[in-house]
Amino acid sequence: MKHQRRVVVTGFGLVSPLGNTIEDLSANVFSGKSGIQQFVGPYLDKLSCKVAAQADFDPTQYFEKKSDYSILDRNGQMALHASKEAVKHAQLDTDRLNKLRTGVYVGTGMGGIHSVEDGYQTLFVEGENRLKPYTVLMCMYNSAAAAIATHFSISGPNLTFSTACSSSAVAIGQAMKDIRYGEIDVALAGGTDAILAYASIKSWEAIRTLAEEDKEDISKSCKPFSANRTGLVIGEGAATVILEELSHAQARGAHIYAEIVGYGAANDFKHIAVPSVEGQAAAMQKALDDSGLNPQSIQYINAHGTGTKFNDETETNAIKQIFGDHAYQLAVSSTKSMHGHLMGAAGVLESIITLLAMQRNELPPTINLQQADPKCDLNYVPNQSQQVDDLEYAMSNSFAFGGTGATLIFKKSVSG
Amino acid sequence: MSKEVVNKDEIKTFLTEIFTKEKNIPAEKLTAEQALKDLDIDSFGFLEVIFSIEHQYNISFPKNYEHIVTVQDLVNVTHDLIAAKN
Repeated sequence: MKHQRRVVVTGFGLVSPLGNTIEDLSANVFSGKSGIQQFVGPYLDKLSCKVAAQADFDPTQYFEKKSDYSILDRNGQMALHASKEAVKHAQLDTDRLNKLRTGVYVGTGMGGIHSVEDGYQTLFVEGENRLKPYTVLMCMYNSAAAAIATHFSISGPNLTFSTACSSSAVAIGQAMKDIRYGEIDVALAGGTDAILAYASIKSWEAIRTLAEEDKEDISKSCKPFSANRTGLVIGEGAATVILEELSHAQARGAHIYAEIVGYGAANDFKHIAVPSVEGQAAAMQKALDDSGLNPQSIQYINAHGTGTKFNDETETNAIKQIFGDHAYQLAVSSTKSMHGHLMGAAGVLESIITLLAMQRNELPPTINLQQADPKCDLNYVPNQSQQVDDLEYAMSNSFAFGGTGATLIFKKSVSG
Repeated sequence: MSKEVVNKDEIKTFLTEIFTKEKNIPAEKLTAEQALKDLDIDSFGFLEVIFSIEHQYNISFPKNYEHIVTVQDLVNVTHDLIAAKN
């Protein structure tokens, strides 16, 4: 073993455009169902792009008391619910945890943006001169992590990572390192973003990366790796994974879904918003180096695969640079084609989908792959899932505006 | 501009509504002499109560309101702030 302390995943929970339970997510992802639809919300008539991937998440259905959620922005509400589900799924008895050796690691790209907008609406539009007392606590970027750490009375590290679209992959990676290097034994790691607020959507319109609506079927608007792709579809959601040091998980008889054997974070420094082959390849190379694996071991990559012209071609070339001929043997898919781009929750949701793929020995599809792009010529698992004999090693890529790329590598069995 | 006339009974009624509906405090606990610190509300919960009163009557409480001890104090200060506004 390359590392003395090994880190495993023992549970997960989520709120996503493809459902808020593992069963729904799994059924939808592997049958190629889209969670993308026409945006439902205020100012619809003012939006140039009306397509989004919304989570069906009404906090009144998930919290006992109003006071449990009313002091949280939507991003915090979703993150707290996902974390409670993850703890349940891992059958983790939080009363018996060493709380000082347990940490919370949350990624978020845009924090409490709904609350920021609500505050501006109150002041600038409605002309009021006072804001709700909890406004600061709802807007701050560490609000979701704080809600989780407070709920479970965790006294170890309580950390928030904001690296745009790679935030939750970074959160998982950094949590993994803190377990590996002995700081903690258990982590609740993941991410959340609720960016479907009017001004936020407008800012995404302005940077001109959003997909055009598919005129025939709006649910097919996100077309990663397809020649007719037009951009990404913004989404919302939250997800949390429970990470444990291997012997800690074994001692309590936990079910182990996979080991995290590699993590690489690398900066794509050439441009703040345009990806480069070198930058994306660096993250994958660092993760491979960290794992000690031969690149030929990797059987599946859950791609960043946003559906933009730039990303998908760049990521394809980065995969070819790292894997050489093996790039044509492994499978690559973008599940964003179904759940959209969850920003700060993208890396963790896609990691969970990768773990489900390993459990099922089934590769999730890239749906809406309608036209072959000569520049994107790998096996993207087009339109239908693919069964494999034994999916043992898989990789999940997350890249981001601002440059921070993060790659995670999972191994299914902990033996060997 | 006509003066806003709000008597203390109306203020008490409004406060009772806030405490019972938003903070789940039973109405019978809200006697005039009831100490606010003994209600089951933390400091941030009390901030929300103040916010609701300020919003209702378009007044601003001072930053420091430690002199408001009982339910009656809260009614009186609210009443005085409304009067001062007029």
